[in-house]
Parts: sequence; C-alpha cells; structure tokens
Amino acid sequence: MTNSVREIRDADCIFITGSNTAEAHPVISYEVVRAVKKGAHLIIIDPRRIPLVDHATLFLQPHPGTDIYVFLAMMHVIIREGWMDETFIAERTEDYDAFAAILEGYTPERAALASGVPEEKIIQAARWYALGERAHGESIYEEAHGHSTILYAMGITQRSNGTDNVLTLANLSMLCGQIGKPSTGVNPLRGQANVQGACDVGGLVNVLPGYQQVTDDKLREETAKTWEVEQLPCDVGLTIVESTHAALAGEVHAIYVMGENPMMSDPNSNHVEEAFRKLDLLIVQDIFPSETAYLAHVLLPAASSLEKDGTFTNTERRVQRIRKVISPPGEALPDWSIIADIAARVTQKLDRKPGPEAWKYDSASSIFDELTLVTPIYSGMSYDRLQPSGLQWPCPSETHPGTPILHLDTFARGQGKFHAVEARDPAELTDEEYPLTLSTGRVLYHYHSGTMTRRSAPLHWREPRGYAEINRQDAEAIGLKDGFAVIIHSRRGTIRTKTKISEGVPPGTVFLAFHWREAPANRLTQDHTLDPIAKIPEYKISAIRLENPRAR
Amino acid sequence: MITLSIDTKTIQVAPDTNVLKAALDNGIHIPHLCYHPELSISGGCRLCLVEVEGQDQPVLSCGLTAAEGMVIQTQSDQLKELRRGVLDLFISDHPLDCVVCDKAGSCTLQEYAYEYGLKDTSYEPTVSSTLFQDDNPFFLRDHQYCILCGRCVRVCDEIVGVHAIDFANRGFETNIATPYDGPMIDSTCVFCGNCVQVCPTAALMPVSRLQRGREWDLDRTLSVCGYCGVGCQIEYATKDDAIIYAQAPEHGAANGSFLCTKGRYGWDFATSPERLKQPMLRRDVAHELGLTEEPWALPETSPLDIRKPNVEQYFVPVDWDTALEFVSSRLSDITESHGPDSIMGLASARCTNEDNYLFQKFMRAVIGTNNIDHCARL
Amino acid sequence: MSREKLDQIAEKEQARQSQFDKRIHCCISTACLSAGAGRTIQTLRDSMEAAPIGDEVEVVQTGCMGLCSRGPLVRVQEKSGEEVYYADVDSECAEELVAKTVSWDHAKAKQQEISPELQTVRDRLETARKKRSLKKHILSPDLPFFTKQFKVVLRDVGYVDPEKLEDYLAHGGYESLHKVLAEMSPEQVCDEILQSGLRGRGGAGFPTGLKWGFVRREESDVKYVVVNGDEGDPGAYMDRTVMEDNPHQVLEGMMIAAYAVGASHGYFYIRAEYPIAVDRIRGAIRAARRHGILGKSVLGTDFSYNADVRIGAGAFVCGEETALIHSIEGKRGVPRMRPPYPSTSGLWGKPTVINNVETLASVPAIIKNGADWYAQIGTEKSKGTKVFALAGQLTNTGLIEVPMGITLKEIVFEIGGDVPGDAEFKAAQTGGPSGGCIPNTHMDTPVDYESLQELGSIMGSGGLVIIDSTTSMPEFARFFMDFCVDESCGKCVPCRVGTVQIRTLLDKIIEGRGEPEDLDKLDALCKLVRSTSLCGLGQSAPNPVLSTLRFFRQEYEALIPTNA
Repeated sequence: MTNSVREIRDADCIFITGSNTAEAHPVISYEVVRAVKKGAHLIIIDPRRIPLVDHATLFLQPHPGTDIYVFLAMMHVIIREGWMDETFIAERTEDYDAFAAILEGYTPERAALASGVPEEKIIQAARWYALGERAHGESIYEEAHGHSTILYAMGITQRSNGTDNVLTLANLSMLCGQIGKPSTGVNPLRGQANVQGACDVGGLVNVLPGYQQVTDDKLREETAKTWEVEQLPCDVGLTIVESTHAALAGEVHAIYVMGENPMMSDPNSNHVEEAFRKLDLLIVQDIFPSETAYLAHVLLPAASSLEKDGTFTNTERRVQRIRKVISPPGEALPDWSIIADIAARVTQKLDRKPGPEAWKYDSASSIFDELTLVTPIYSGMSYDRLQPSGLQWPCPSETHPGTPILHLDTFARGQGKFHAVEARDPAELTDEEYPLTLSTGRVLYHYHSGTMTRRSAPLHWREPRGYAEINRQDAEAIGLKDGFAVIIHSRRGTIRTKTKISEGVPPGTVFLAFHWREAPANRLTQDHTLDPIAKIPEYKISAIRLENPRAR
Repeated sequence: MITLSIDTKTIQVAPDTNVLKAALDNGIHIPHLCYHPELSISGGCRLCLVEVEGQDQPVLSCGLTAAEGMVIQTQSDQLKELRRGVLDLFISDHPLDCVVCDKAGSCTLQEYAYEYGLKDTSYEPTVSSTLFQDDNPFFLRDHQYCILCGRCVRVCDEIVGVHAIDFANRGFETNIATPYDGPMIDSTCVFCGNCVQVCPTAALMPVSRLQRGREWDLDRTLSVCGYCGVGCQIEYATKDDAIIYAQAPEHGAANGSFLCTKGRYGWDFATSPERLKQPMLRRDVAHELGLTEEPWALPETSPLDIRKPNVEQYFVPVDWDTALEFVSSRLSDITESHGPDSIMGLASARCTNEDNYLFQKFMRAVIGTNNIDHCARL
Repeated sequence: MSREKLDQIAEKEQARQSQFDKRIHCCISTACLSAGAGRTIQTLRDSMEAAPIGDEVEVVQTGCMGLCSRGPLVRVQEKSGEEVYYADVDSECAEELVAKTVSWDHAKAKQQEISPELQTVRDRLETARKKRSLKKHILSPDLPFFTKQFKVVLRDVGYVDPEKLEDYLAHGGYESLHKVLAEMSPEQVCDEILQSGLRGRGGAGFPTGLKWGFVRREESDVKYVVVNGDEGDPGAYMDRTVMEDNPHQVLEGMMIAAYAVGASHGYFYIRAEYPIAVDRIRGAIRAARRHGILGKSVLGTDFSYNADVRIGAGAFVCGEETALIHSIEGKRGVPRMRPPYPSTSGLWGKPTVINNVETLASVPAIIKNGADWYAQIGTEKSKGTKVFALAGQLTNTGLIEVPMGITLKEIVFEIGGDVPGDAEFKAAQTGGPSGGCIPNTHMDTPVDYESLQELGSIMGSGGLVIIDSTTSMPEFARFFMDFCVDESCGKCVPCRVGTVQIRTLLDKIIEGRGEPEDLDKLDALCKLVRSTSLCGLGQSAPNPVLSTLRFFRQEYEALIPTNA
C-alpha cells in the first residue's frame, strides 16, 4: 500500500475494485465502513455483489474481465470534464500526452457496451473519485478537493492483464492527484500475513533483499560481500508456475517447499501433480501434512507463527514483531532453524564459502540484524525499535521514523510515469463448450488452501464444506437447486461440489473458493497464459461448464 | 489546539475532542461503561459525570466537547455520590458472583464496584434477564451479566457494518438480540467477536475461555495474526503453554482494538492432532535407506483425491539428523550433478522475514540459484 | 393557487353558510362520540328530513366544544350569531331539540306526503314537541366554564368542519401564511414569534422564536420542520383534538415555521393510537396540495414546501425530540444526548425545528393579530393561553383553554365546578407522569411555567388531573411510576433500573412492609434518578413521587408499621 490502513477511515471517497474486502481483509473493511458512516462515498467495481456493496453508494458490476474498460472510460471522462489535477500532472508526472491520447478512444459508451455498466454510473464514479466527493458530512482535509483512495486486491492482479490493470489504477490516481497525500493512494491489499515481507527480503526470482535487482552487478557484489561469498547468481530465476513447467521438462530436479501448498494453490493442479511426481527430490517443510506433502520425499515439521519469534511485514509495509505464544508440538522447529541447519550441512558438502560456521544463528533477532545490513529499506530497524507498533519501510536510518505514506514529494523513480495502456480481453474466453466464467477467491471463514482454518473447530463449525456460488438463472437452466451436487468442468479438469444459489454472482459467472480439498478449484484454472510481466496466473477467469449429476 | 483544565492539570487537545477522551488520554481516569474511544457516544451509563465551572449541574464528560478555558473537576463528593448511586443501580441488576465469574479481574463493573466500595446493592437485587444463549462455538451470551451499555450493538453496526444485534424490547425488559432473537448463525453475524472484546462484563465471553483459569493467572503475549496481510496485532492469553483466548490489544497499529473471526478464533489449528511433530521420510525413501523393511511405492491416487489422509501410511518418522542429512546430501548431489538451477525453492508468505531471508540466502549463496519464489501471486 | 382564488373559495363558502337561518353543530370528537354522538347526529339528520321545516337549517359535524363530561354536545347557531349550547344530547333530546328550535311549516306538513318511515319519525317529533325536558340540557353562556376561558388555539375548533378546507378558509384560514409570504421576511417572522413570548407547549417552555432563530441561522441545504404529535400523558388529548378538529390550523402553523427557518420539508409525527388525527392531517395535506397551498410555489410564491405524516409505534419516549427523530429515521426510538440540539443536527443530521402541535396551532393567530396582542395575554414570563385536558374528580371535565396566570383555584372551582359529592379538592396534578402534585394549600398559585416548577411540578403538555380527598397519594404516585417503568426506553440505567427500584420501594411501603428509613431511601433514589437520567422522561419520572413525598409525607409515614 502506498498509504496506511488507518488513513482509510478519513477518506472522502473510497474506490474498491477486485477486492472482496469484508471477507478477505475484514479489518480493512471496518475502516471502509467507518468512513462510509462518516459520509464518504464508496464506489465498488466488481463482477460479484460482494458483502461490502451493502455499504456502497455506487456499485458498478462489469462482466468479468471487462473492468479495464470502465477504468479507462473513467479517465476519459475525467479528462473530458476537466476534473484532473493539472498541477499534479505538470509537476509530478511524465508521459501524460501519449497516455491521454490513448484514452480518447475509450468513451463511456464503449465501456458500457463492453462491460454492461451504464454510462451514467461510470461518469458518476469518475466524478466522485476525481473530486473526492462525499455523500455527506465534512472532510477532515482542507483542500478544495476531497481525498480519494483506491483499494484493490487479487481481482485486479490475478489476470492475464494484471499488470495493465495495476498501471491503469496508478494512472488514475496520478491523473487526479490522488496520491502522495493522506487517505489517497493506490493500495493493494495483500492476502497473506507476510507476503509483503517475503518479497521485501528477497523471496523473488529477480531481486535480492530490498528489491535490489539480481542483474545489477554492483548491488549483487555488495550483497555477496556482506554474505562473504565469492559470487551470487546473476540470472533471473524461475517462478513457481515456470518451475512446474521446467520440472516436467526435466530441467528442475528438486523443489524445496517451505510453508506452501502448491497442490491446492497453484493453477492447473493436475499439471502441478504431474510435475511434482517427476522430481528427484521434493522437500516439504510445513506445520501440517498438506496435500503437497503426500508427494514429498521428506517432511520437516515446522513451528507455526504462534510458536516462534520473528517479524512479519504487513500490507502497509509495517514490520512488526511476532512472538512465541506457545511451544511448538513434538520436535517441530522454527523454519529458520531448520534452514540454517540444512544450509550449514550443504555448505559443508559443497565446500561453499564462508563455511558452515556462518550459518550458526542463535535467535531470530540475530538474523534480523543481518537482514537489515543487506536490505536498505529495513536499514534503520531493530527488534528494539519495532516495539510496540513496528515501523513502515522505507526506514533507512536508525533515527528514521518510518514511512506511512509513499510518494509524498517525489516518486521512487522521480517523476510519476503515465503508462499508455490499452484494454485487453482475458486469455480464456467463454465459448459454446465452456459457456460460463469461473472466478476463484476466498470466503470469510477460511484462508487460502484451508490447511489451518479447516482444522479450526469454530471456523469449521461455521463453514464446514465448500460450495460453488451460482446464479439462479444458470442453476435453473440445468435443473439445479440450492444445495444440489454439481459437476464443474474446464479444459484442465473436473470437480464436484455443492451449489449455493446466490444473487451475489451475476448470470454467467460462477464463484468457487479454493479452500476445499474435496473440490479443488485449481483443477479448473489455467496456467498457460500468465501476466507477461508479473507472471501471475489468471485465477479470476476460466471458462467452465456446469453439469447436473442427477441429469445423467 | 484547545487548552482546558481537568483536575487542575492543564491539557491541550484537538478541537471536537470530548472531555472524557481528553481526560483518559492524559492519564486522568473517569469511570465509564458505555463509552468506547472507537465508537459513537451513547451516554447511557451515566457514570462519567464531571463538574464544569460555571454550570450548576454535573454533566456527562463523554458528551461534552472540550472548549477553550474550560475548567473541569472529575472528583468531588457530589460526583462520588452520584456515581456510587448509579453503580448501586447497576449491581442491583447484575449477579454478584464474582468469585466464580470468568471475567473477574478484567470486568469493568467489578473494578468500579471495588473502587466505590460497593460490597452489595442497597436495593432489592432484581436481575432483568436470565437468557443464556450458547448457540455457537465462538462466544457465549449470558444476559444476566448484561448491563446494556450497547457497546456490542455499536461495534457491530459502526465498525463491522453487519448490524446483527440491537436492543429489543424496552425499559427493564430491554435485551440485546438478533432479529426475533433467533440463533446467531441465522443472523448477519460474522462471528468476529468484536462485541466480546468491547463487552465490559461477562455478558459476552469467548467459549474457549470458560472455566479455564482466573484472569490474573493468565500470561499475555503480543504478536501478529498469521492469516491475511493486514497484520493485526493480537494479544494471546495463555496458561500452561495453551492459548485460552485471543483479543486485540488496545492500540493495534493497523487494527486498533479490533479483529476478524479468523484472527480471534482461528488459532486452535496449532494444537490439532494432525500437526507434524517429527521429521518423516517417505516409505520408499526410508526403505531405500534401509530404515524400513517393506518396499513401498507412491500410490497413483492424487493427494487431492485421498479420502482420509493418513500421513503414517506414506511416511515413517525419523530423527532430525537423519532427515537433515538426507535432505542436505540429496540437495548437494543434485546441485553437483544437474547444476544449481535444477533446484527450486519455494519460500512462504506465511513464514517470517527471518525464515524467508535465510531461505533465499541459502538458495542464492549456498545452492547458487535465483530459483526462489513464493506464493505472492497466488 | 393564488391568494385571490383562495379568497373566492372562502367567500363562496361564507355565502353558502350565511343562507342558513340556523346551523346545528354537533360535536363528533372522540369524547362525544363515545358518549353517543354518532346516534345524536344521525337523529338530527333524520329529524331534519322528517320534520316539516320552515327554516333553512344545516346540520354540521364539528370538533370538540370543550365540556367533554357533558357530551354529546350540540350548539345551535342563529343567523344573528347567537348561540345556545345543549349538553348530554341523546337521541330523545335531539328530537326535542329539532322539534322545538326549528320553526314548523304546518301548511307544508299537511300538503306533504311522506313515507311511512318518515311519518314514524315525524310522529315522534310531534310527541317530542310536547316534552319539557330540553331546558335541562341548555348550558348557560354565563357558566364560568365558558366565561373563564380564552380561546386562541381552540377558537375555531368546534366550529369548522375538519374535513373541509373551504370551511377553514371561510374562517380566515391560511391568511396568516399568506401574510408572512407576502409581507414578511423569515427573520421578521422569527422576531414576531419571539416578541409574542410564545413558549413551547410540549412542556419545557422553550421560547419558540428563539428556537426558530437558531434553525434559521444554520447554514444547510436541507432543513426540516417536525410537528410533535406524539401526545402521551395519560388523560391528555389537547394535541389530538387540535389535529382532529382543525388540522389545517396545525399545517398552517407548520408552514409558517418552515418559511421562517428555511425548511423545505416537514413531518407530522403522530402516534398510531390517534388514527383519526392521522386521517385528518393526511386529508388536510392532500387538500392543501390540491389547492396549491402545499408543494411547489406555495400560494404562487417562491416558497416550496412539502409535508408528510409519520406514525409512531406507541412509545411514550418518542415524544422526546431526539427519540422522535430516531423514530422518523426508522431507528429505535431512544433519546440521545444533547448537544447537539436538533436545531443544529436533527433529522438526518440536518437542522430541524421540532414543535408541539399546540405551539404551532398558536402561530396563525399570532401572525394574524400581532405579537403585541398575544403578549398581553398571560403573565410576564408566560404569555398567551394554555390548553388543558381537565380530568379527574371534578364536575366539569373536558378541554379548556385559559390565559396563562389563571389560578388553580379558578380552574378547579369555577371552570371545573368543584369536586362532586362530599369529597374535597386535595391536589392537582399537572404534567402527567413527568409532573407533580400541587396540594390544595397552593391553589392560589398562578398557572405558569415558573410557578409550577417552583412547586416541583411542570406545566407539561396540558394534562391536569384533579384529585379529591378519597385518593391515596402514595398509590397515585405508584400509578405514574408504573407508567414510567413501562415506558422507560431502557437506554440509561437510572431510568431503566431506578424506576423499577422506586416502584419496588413504593410497593413495599403501600403493602405495609415499609421501614422507617425507606422514605429517605425513596427520596434519595428519586433525586438520583432525577439528576442522572439521560432524557427528560427519566429526569422527571420521579416527580410524582417527590412532590407527593414533599406535600403528603404524612400519608407515606402512616403506611410504615412502626409509625402507625
């Protein structure tokens, strides 16, 4: 997030798209509810009628995959009506003209045709967002225009044009000067406890800790020096999905999985399974025997986040301490301790520098201290400084207070760059054989592949089994009623689950959470067309067909 | 900023601050039961009365906006008598069974009764509602303890936005209810338990907490939720190495004093019997290494189709040294035979920065590959 | 519609009415109806049809004439303006009234051929002509009940047909509205009302002009006027009567308020127990809308206004303005703390004037006759008149309107005609469950806001219950405590629990289980509830107990066994 969670309550206009906030990030939805109760406008753009729509002052429901037309048309309208922030554009951005030129073709009429969203709603949304208008009450901000914030999540990114979507939202915020101020910004709501931190400390194919490119010789050498190794690999590595392809091709021989469950969470599960079965070595280090564990050669029992010390970095870039609350069961150990042990042994066996002694860490705290040496955005942090509320990166020095709001006076790259983005259709369109669109996501009571929440007694009581949300019209077309068994086919696979007739999904769309091992949604999703830049699979859009088993 | 004086202390507050908040933020305690800093003002408990210079009658500090030059007294014989009188009425409608109450030690009503020396009510004890509702595994509603402060109603409506409960009936018969007093699960309740957290008495209690020890015997650890990326701070109350209940701290950085259902109630997975408790080798590997006698082959059945997964059918427990020696020698072998880029590491968005940092350092500095990714995209 | 057109309608109606030699007004308001006015008016109509009438006579249904204990009431109005009131007019009396007050055309009687049914009625009338009981029913115009009253609010009540806009216009209706729209600025209207000294008739007595001024000065795109018709005191029916019997008068007052404060929309909040009032107000709104009095460009001016009715669900507390606002908003009817007052943040957070029915019904007369005229009625601080629902152990009970400052003695002994039978006047209770009891030793007290408050009571909305020497004051107090226990909304603990504990103590004392210290305990608890409750309901709930404890403590003491 460019801004902080607790600023949302003071926003004048909140624009949410591709985020089922109340179910996937409930505590952020509290902020949204508070803002709305104080009089903020809430614009929601989503193909599903998500729970937060109850509080929305404007709801736009585009056909799946067509939201980009709406975003582009909003900007078209903003420029046409002169609602943009010309000072901001002039002083803080570049490449505006090329970007604006492309927008000329994206009229609200065209967007309405493509997305099914009425023109007047697009115009209304454009106005409210650009000018930061409120439904009632007074803004706490004193400028002429109110402050508008964008919240988005995987509904925007898990798409074959996810990067385009994100750039478009960034364009929108810059166009209106709704960034670099409190209660504004472009705010991805990150889905997992430490997904931000895992990226920050280098858990990505192309960057070292602190987003330092592996391809940058100077940066790489500096890190190598701190680590006291001769050199570090300079080629960008393989992403998860690429690695399964590579395993099938015989290029990858071993996968070491720590705290993940790709069999449930990666697209096209059948394909993943095939790849994993080919491996010479699959290490699964986890707290439970996950679905992936049943293909592993070795299981290493890890301590859960309740059972160890360390830090998590949240969606607003806040690094916070986690503490050992209870002891791990049996012989389970913190992940860092297992890794350190393996690393020391492999160092020894491969005779790597500086030798196994370098892998002796006595506490999480000592690892963090080393981490801050190679992660510039964390440089000023220490466990002491993280008490009691953590620090938001960048925090470059020991006296730096952290950064609640990014891009205050200047963007990271200097000037904010407008990207001229065109609308593109999803990779897999519906056809006669697969006439419906499947979208995957979460429900309130469960989390990700369900490894933890499905083993929680109260959560299980509330939501014991999975279901596919289907519009009445689609269900009745094949004689399905609420609670009936249904078979869902895609080009990748088939699953069987129960129906939940819901007006929350529009006709033509089916929603299925990916928590349910009995009906693993990712047997249906596709892994062949990834976003070309972020390499994110298009979980949100797959073509499917429903079958009523009683009709067999 | 506005300058006012509370109990002779000069205080500066932002405009539109109420006097109760001004006092509390500056370490001056005024008793209150219905006021909560994150919720709208109710004014129903009548305890936060203060004297304002120039006004005849005591006024409620929660509903009084601080004004420049205001002079406030929070303690006086008159105020003490009024508060004592109001508390006396509260406890006339509240069982005084603190000796067996799970809330004892963190009950605000108990604290005030103690402070004002009320051993018993001077009125006829008359408990207005004896409804006892244990219709869900998250929290219990025991109406005899309810003092109708309405915090639960407000948090449900104003913060969570689901408005599952509200006041029903009126006067002495008033109680907090779902529509038509149906079971919680039939209401719009999302079981976030924020109502439980803001409840000043034992009217709303986490089921996990019942009969699990006295408040003063519990240890408290501040940590961060392991689910989504909001990073809510959670205070876990534990006893004998077991979690008794979880709640938000008073001032969580991202979450303030609120949580969602997963964060507040979804921690019991940690003690699931299915947890991996020791390192294990797959049966074919174990056989290969001479650790088991029976040969074994990985079944064709997809892990997704195993009806009742039983890890022991697939794996045998081994000691850490065996497991780690196996892992490190295989990794070394593969690195040497197929090159570093034949190895892929999947780090985790559920592990700590320290875990992930070491993991990528291991992949890059020891194995020598950038094949390191995690589920950021999933 | 323009002023001229309304004048035409008024003149036409006046002309129509003046063609009659006699107009017989029959009260059909709730009290008279329950005394049989339905049959009375039917008999009057049947008789008129059957009788060989020489005069031009119109039978008119009207609202309350005041002396409800003597209903059904009928008034015969001559062309000259002379009026005679008849009380207890049952069917028989109605026949005699027609037979004797209407001139008979004997020639016509002979010529006319009528149906056998009408012949029966005519025969009965013939018999009635020979009766001599009518005199007993005549109420002398010199009765103090009439002479001691001063009617401003009720001036036309009992004269106009509440369901006929034309009749209201014929009585000068909407002239005041036209006057403010044509001649006065909103500021002038507020000043005029302020000058008149009009104070809120709901009970608290806040200067109305001041309240309007607050709302007028608020800057807001939307403002509201709310008419508080949630009259709830037991035995009180002043507001109901005005709404039922002259609804346009209330609507006119409301619109003048709206113009004065800059409101564009308003609501009548009427309790569901008043279905006739709801119907009549709705009827008035419809008629006014049809005639261009309500809606866009009122009376052809720039002023636009719309009004609507909201029905309460029977909670006493919804008479409290903040609870009333919540109720209109569709929320639970509970009060909230003030400030902010509705004048700054009222209905849907917008500046709102909330006035009681009687307050607004006083407004047209003030505008018409001027602030000075109104200000000379009443006392120094309490101007104008007050309507009371006179009830309890009294000869004449009913609805009265008296100038402020009249003494309790005059009301009880002159207007009320003293306590009947051998019993003696013991106390007067004003202000309903929120008020207190004034003992006979204070009967020279002038009835105004300040004097009543000094005695531990309040003016209240107009309930006035007379208690005679046979009534036990502790039991009387318990009756009102029961009411408060039932009607407490439950939001704040002093009212929710305190009233229950007060009642428990009263029960204990009345049942003879009291202990000597219980009286002090009761007194202390009452004072605690009074000083710590959230809204006016709770703050005033102990008044009946406190005032009886103050003036009739010996009755309580007598109930304590050790003292007996």
